[in-house]
Formats: sequence, structure tokens, C-alpha cells
Amino acid sequence: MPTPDLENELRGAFTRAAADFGDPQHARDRLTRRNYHPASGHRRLAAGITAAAASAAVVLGLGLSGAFGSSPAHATATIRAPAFTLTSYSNGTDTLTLNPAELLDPTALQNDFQRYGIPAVVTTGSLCTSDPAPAGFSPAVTSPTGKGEGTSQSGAQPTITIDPSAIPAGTELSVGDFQLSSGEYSGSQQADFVLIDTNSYTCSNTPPDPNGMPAGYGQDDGIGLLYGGPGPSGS
Amino acid sequence: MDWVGNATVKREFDRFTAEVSDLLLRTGYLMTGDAKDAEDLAQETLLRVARRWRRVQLMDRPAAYARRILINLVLHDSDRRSRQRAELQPGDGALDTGDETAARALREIEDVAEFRWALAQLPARQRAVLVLRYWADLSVAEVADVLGCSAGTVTSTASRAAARLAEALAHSDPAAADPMIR
Repeated sequence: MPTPDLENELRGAFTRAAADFGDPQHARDRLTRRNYHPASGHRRLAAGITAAAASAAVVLGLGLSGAFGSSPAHATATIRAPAFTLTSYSNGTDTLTLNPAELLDPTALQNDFQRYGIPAVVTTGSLCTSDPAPAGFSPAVTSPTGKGEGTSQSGAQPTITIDPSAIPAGTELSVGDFQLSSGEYSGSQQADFVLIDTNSYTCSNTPPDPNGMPAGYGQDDGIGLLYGGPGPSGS
Repeated sequence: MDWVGNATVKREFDRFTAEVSDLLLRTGYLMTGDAKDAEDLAQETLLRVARRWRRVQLMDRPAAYARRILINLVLHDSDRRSRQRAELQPGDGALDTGDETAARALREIEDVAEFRWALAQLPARQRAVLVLRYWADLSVAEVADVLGCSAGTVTSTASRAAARLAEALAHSDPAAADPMIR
């Protein structure tokens, strides 16, 4: 054991070194601003869906805002599920890629979002929204592969990018996935991404208009992805 | 639909985050010598605590639990990178003469960056013993509990770490080694 004199010197040196931490207030603010998602033990998810077939993916007009300025840094972790791939990058962002050939498992996606620090409610057959819509969707969520209404994606797997640190406190991401059974896009899946107020939101089993926005949401307040429909070769 | 109920949990966790942020940041800073790394560590720690929050909030000392996670993150990373274990085997602790030399070296530190640099030269487990014992002010038994070793191992490691720290201080040239120091 070090002598008492050495122990005193060590305590003094550590106190001075700890006090030397540069700008701890900003670091504390960044830490507390991050929207952690503490396990609360509940959350149930809506009903399942039927079938979907792979083909071209289309990004619909739920307001696309500018993608992140540069491509994400190197991947640090990846979760691969049948219906999605969730990848975490060293710059703090995450990407979600949907596989049109599989039905989305909302529980799995929500749990994996949570593992990556993304507060989210994921539902199938319904979408949860708040009215008014919380601000701050962009730059928290962008679609780096889409450019606007009706734009086809070259690949069949739509991708969105999420910056968890940019999700405003008191809000969380709402993801609603629908199996469309009628209309122009019958047979496709529609995934909508919006922010909701954690303390005030309702869920509807009516999919938003593929070319519009849920009530209370502006063009920059959400992203809609249409994917997995019967493509040129059918399914 | 019952979607409500997590608002209170979030508020409680937010309060916990505000309370422990400083502790985690400074512990991380001492363990890594780098403010950005400290922030990353603190954030990863809070994410892990959040996942277990229902259990953590029932603990007597949730802040201590969070600090243990942070320390283990550093040690795990260190283990992954290389060697280890031998550092924590009970051995011949430093002699009192070594302690006197170490105490003198610490007294003569002119720039706190010099100490930070010397600390960074220690193996992670030796650093953890010193940080927990002399900054967090844990007892030997508490340090042993955090690190999963015996009290004897903590005391011998503390002596060896202090001697090694003195040696690093004697040969330190932090201005050359640390670009932040100019």
C-alpha cells in the first residue's frame, strides 16, 4: 500500500487533473440533451400484416429534407434481421435499410432502435402521430437515397439515416409500416417516419396518403417510403 | 391503446443523467486522458444504464453502478487490445523508498497535463485502481469489488501503479507527446 504521504499527493494530483477537464458544461449539455430511451417495460405493438414481394422501391413525397452533408464514417456495429439492417457509424449516425422481401417485425426493430439509443415507437398497420407535429425532424432523419416525390431508388432496399443526438428531447421517432391492399400502390409496403411528442400522441390504422402528410405535419416533418410492390416482373 | 406510462420513467432517467454526467465525464477523462473519449464513454455508459433502467433505479447507488460500467468499458477495450491479467496479480509492491520518490515526483508536477500524460502511460487496470482509490475515494474493498479482484491485489497494484507513475513523470515530455500541450 502506498504510504500516507504518497496517498495524499495522489489525491491532490487527481483532483487537479479532474478539474482540468475542458468545458465540462458543454459536454454535460450534450449528454443530457441526448434522448435516451430508458426501459420502461411496456409498449405494445399493433397487428401484423400479410405478404409483400420484392421489387423497386419508391420514395414518396413525405417531405424530404437535405441528407447529411457527408456519408457516414466507418460502420461500428450492424444488426441484420430478415426485414431490415441497422448499422451504427462512428460519427454517431445510424442507417436503417429495409428489405422489401420480408415483412417488418416491429418489436425487433423497436428493440434494436433502443439498443442503438434511438427512441422510437414502431408499429405495423398503424402510425402514431402528434398534433401539432414536433419540430426537429430534419436533420434527425433523412433519406440519403431519395430526392423527392415519386423518385425511384436504383436499389430495391430503401435506406434512411438517423442521427439520435439530433432527436429533440421529449420526442421520439414514430415508424408505421403498412401493407397496402388497395389503390395505386396495392401490394406494396409503406413505411412512414415522423417525430412524435413522447407525452402526447395518437395512433391511427389509416395509412397516410402516399403523396401527402399526416394531419398536423408539414412537408419537412416526415419521410414516407413505398417499397416491395409488384415490380416490372411481378411477384 | 395504452401507449402512455413512460413519461415518468424518462423524467427520472433524465434527472439521473443530469446528476451523474459530471462524475462520468471526469472519471472517463482520468481514465482516457481525452475529453472527447470521456464524452463517448459517458454516453455509452448512459445508453447501457438506460437499457437496464428498471433494475438500476432500484439500486442503492445507481451512480456507482454507472461508474462501474464506465470503468469496465475501458478495461474491456484494453483487454481486447492486448495483454492483461498479470497486472492484477498480487506481487511485490513498491518499497517505501519508491513511494517517497513517487510522492516527490507528484509534488514537483508543474503542469497538470504532465500528470495526465504520465497516467496515460499506465496499463488500464493500474489506472483504474488509482482513479477509483484516489479520485473516487473508494475504499480498498470497494475498488476490489468494482474490479473483481482481492483487496490484496488492489493494494499491491496501487503501489506498483504509483511507482510506475513516478517513473513516467521522471521521464515525461508531455509537450512532445501530447499535441494539446504547447
